[in-house]
Amino acid sequence: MQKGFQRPARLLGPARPGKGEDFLKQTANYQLNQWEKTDRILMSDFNADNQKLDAAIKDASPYRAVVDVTTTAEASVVEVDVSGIDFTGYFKLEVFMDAPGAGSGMGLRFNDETNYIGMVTSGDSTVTFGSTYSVYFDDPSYGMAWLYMPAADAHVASMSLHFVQSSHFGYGHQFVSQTLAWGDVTTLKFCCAEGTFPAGSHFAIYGVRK
Amino acid sequence: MTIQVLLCGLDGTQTLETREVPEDYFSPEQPQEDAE
Repeated sequence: MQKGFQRPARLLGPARPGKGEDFLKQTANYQLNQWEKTDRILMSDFNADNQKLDAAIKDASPYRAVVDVTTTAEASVVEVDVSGIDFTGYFKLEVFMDAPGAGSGMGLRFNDETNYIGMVTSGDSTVTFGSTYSVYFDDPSYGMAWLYMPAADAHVASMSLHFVQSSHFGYGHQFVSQTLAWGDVTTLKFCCAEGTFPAGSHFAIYGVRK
Repeated sequence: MTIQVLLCGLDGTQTLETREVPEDYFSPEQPQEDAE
């Protein structure tokens, strides 16, 4: 028997004679079929292999796109239905908003929640303030935002950094929802505070799967 | 005021909707307060 291959004890594909054997040889890790000259070639074997490869590649990295939307029309708010996503399956989430040519200010809200407590720490003092956004980048700026581990009963919370080009200052904030828990999140609302997001704007959330 | 909202599904569907919202709908600011 060739090194790296094994003959499965169980039947994974159609039975056929092949070089004195009942089954095709298969690879050790993903049981992909390995043909020899005397084996019959069947479409079903190729399709089964491709399905295994598709599943294996998807699961190969824990980092994956949870939400990925490129808009097809100009709008002030891009509202994404995430009711089918189980956010609790992720250690953390990262937010990306890429909207060249958008109006002033980009923000993210969850559901209809507009009651977030913000915190900024400087030296030994902490300043708190209210915000209507969970993540907010002033104009004109770009930033990075992370969402804390979304346990079902934990309040939606974020940490963000953004850089305002006109002032050359960077800002860091933490925002925590007063009332909304991750288990109740059904929509994401990407908002342009003044003006609109042009068509072609890109919004994404990537997560590290548990 | 009237705004355009783009409703997006995870299946790739996108629908543009007109919605009426308060004038201060997009304002990020709430009253500030200092903490210890």
